[in-house]
Amino acid sequence: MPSPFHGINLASTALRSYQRALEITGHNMANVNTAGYSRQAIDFAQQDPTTFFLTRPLSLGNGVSIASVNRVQDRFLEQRRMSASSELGRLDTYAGHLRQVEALLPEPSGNGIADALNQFFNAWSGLGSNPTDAGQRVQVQLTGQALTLRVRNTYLELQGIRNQTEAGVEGTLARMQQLVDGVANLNRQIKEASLGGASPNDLLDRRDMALRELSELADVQAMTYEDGTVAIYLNQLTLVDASGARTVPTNWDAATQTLSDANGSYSVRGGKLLGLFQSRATIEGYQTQLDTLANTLRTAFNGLHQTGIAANGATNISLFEDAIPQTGAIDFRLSTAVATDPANIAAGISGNAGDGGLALSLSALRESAQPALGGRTISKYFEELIGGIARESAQAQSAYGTARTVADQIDAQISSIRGVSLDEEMANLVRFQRSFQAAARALSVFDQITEDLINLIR
Amino acid sequence: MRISTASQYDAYSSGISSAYDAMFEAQKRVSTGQRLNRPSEDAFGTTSAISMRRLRSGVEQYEKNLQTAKGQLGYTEVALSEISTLMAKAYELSVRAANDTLGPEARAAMATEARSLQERLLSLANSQGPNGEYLFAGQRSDVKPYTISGGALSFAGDTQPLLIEAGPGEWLNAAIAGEPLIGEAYARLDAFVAALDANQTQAIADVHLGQLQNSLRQVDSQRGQLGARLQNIDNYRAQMGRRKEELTLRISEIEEVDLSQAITEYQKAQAAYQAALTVASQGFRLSLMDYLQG
Repeated sequence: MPSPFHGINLASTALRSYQRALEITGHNMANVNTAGYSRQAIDFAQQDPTTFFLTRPLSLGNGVSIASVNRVQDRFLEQRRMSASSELGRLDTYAGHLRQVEALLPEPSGNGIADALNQFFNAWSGLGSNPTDAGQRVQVQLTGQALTLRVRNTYLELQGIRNQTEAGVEGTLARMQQLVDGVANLNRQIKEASLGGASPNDLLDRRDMALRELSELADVQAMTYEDGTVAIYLNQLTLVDASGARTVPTNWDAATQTLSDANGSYSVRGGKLLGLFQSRATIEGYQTQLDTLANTLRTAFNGLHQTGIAANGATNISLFEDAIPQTGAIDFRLSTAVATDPANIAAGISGNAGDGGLALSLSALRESAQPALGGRTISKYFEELIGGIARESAQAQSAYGTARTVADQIDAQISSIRGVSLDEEMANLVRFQRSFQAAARALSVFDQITEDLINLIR
Repeated sequence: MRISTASQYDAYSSGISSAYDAMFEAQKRVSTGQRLNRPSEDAFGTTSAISMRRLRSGVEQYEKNLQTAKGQLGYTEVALSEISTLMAKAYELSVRAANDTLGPEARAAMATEARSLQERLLSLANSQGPNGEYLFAGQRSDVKPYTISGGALSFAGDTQPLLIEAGPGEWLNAAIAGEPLIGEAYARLDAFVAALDANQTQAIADVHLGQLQNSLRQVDSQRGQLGARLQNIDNYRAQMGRRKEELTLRISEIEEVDLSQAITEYQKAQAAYQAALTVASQGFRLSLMDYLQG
């Protein structure tokens, strides 16, 4: 025989259920803007019925309860988003650095190295064509200074970006360690919370966020276990497993794109970390090309200039500072003699005032194929360097655009599944409110009949 | 597909921001007139613009060199034309001196005139250009080429050409060799004066007249050559001018925007931006909440 208060019990569980449902709806609405939040869906279930006898055994419903609060989510999409994040992180970094490289090369314009080369060759042409004009020697000196300064500065600015990439690697590794520690910590909390059978939805969301950020930094893979914990690997390197967080290696090599510690070296195949490695290697390549340019200018110009007799009679004068081995672009400058006095510049080999033959030969270097530059002329070599940078940057930007689109599409799918819709939540809010009101009404009816029953006896 | 509120708002805001980006880019093109802001926007265009700028820069220098050569030859032309006038006078003198009817006094007066012509020739032979360089000294242009030592003319210059660069692998000579022309003319004048002093009418008629005429012809032939070189330089400069114009046009085609097209693009981008704003503002207004409250 059911209790006389059966109805009151039934109505009060319904009230409690709808109150929780309203709160969960409120939680969803409150987190409409929370990154990584998965909306929570309420799973209502009818309570097990009570059996009673009237004239025969009958089943009496016991009302409603909340069977579970589910985190709406698609594991497969999350996995795809992680690998998309790695590609996006890599290209964002790489394309960003290449754009910085481009920004310090004002080409085509009158302010770049290409123009400085033109002016320098022109100055020799002018000196050769008018060797008695002292102004032409000054012009050679000035354009030589401008050329060497631009080459040096460009090299140093590239070095600045390269240093940034190195600092970026250090910062990324430190951030990876933080995230790895965070995931191990969340693993513990999730494991504890899951012991009672509950689903710690908000902790899971936070761990997913950490995993996503980690996958932007490097191409990590995650594996979920029965107990709710995840293990994280970076190719052959374990970052988090059942025993907790590991130490992220701090030794790295951009050329081989590896991290290493006492136990071995590990490849990095994606993420911001790989982007930084690639940026560093690419920029180093550009610096090497500037070194080659500077060294070729030294060899070609000094070799001829040393055969000449300067305006002041000096002989065997180097035009550019040079050393063995050659030092590249970093200290590319005019020789002290030429930088301090343009009279140390030679226009000819005879020492006669009107002899501009040597200067004309130096001017003709403009068109001369340099074996050290793979048979290109000096200007052409620089043009190809710029063309190479432009193509590399354009390609990286376009690849970044593609990766962005892929990630956005996955995000849209994920958001479509787990994102909060305020309209939907509003509708739920009204629905649960009405249900709550109905349950309250039922309670007052049950209360009324209980009262009537008690009054009947009096 | 179910649309979450956040992704709806994200779609509005990313739509607005990308339309704004496009409008801003279009605006920048109109206001700066530059089509290329970064090499990566057009890698091929960038390298062609750089190499065309290199060619144009060379052409500009060749133009300057030609200008220098023109100046140099201009000075030489003035000096040569005076030498020519002078030699014409000397020849005229010799024609008159060859005339039997003249007396010794008249020849003495002619000798004086011939001597002054000779002195003038010496001074013209040491003519200087704009930088103080001696025009007939070849490459030894800082040394006074013609001096009298022991009554004879000595030459301290050389006969090397003064080359100017007129193009890649192209050189023009901006000097007219003074030797052997001037030395010979001077020596012939010397001999002519001596003949006048000695009153050798027959020798003047037989030898000196012809020699002086020959020197005059040589001077005039050098002037002709010089004129041809000046003409050549003008041709080069005209050619350089056309080349520069063509390169400038092609560079601007790569680097600069077609303004009418840029303005049209800008208007299109502006319309797209307005549309994005309109859609978003109407979308923002729609919410179930507005209907539930009433």
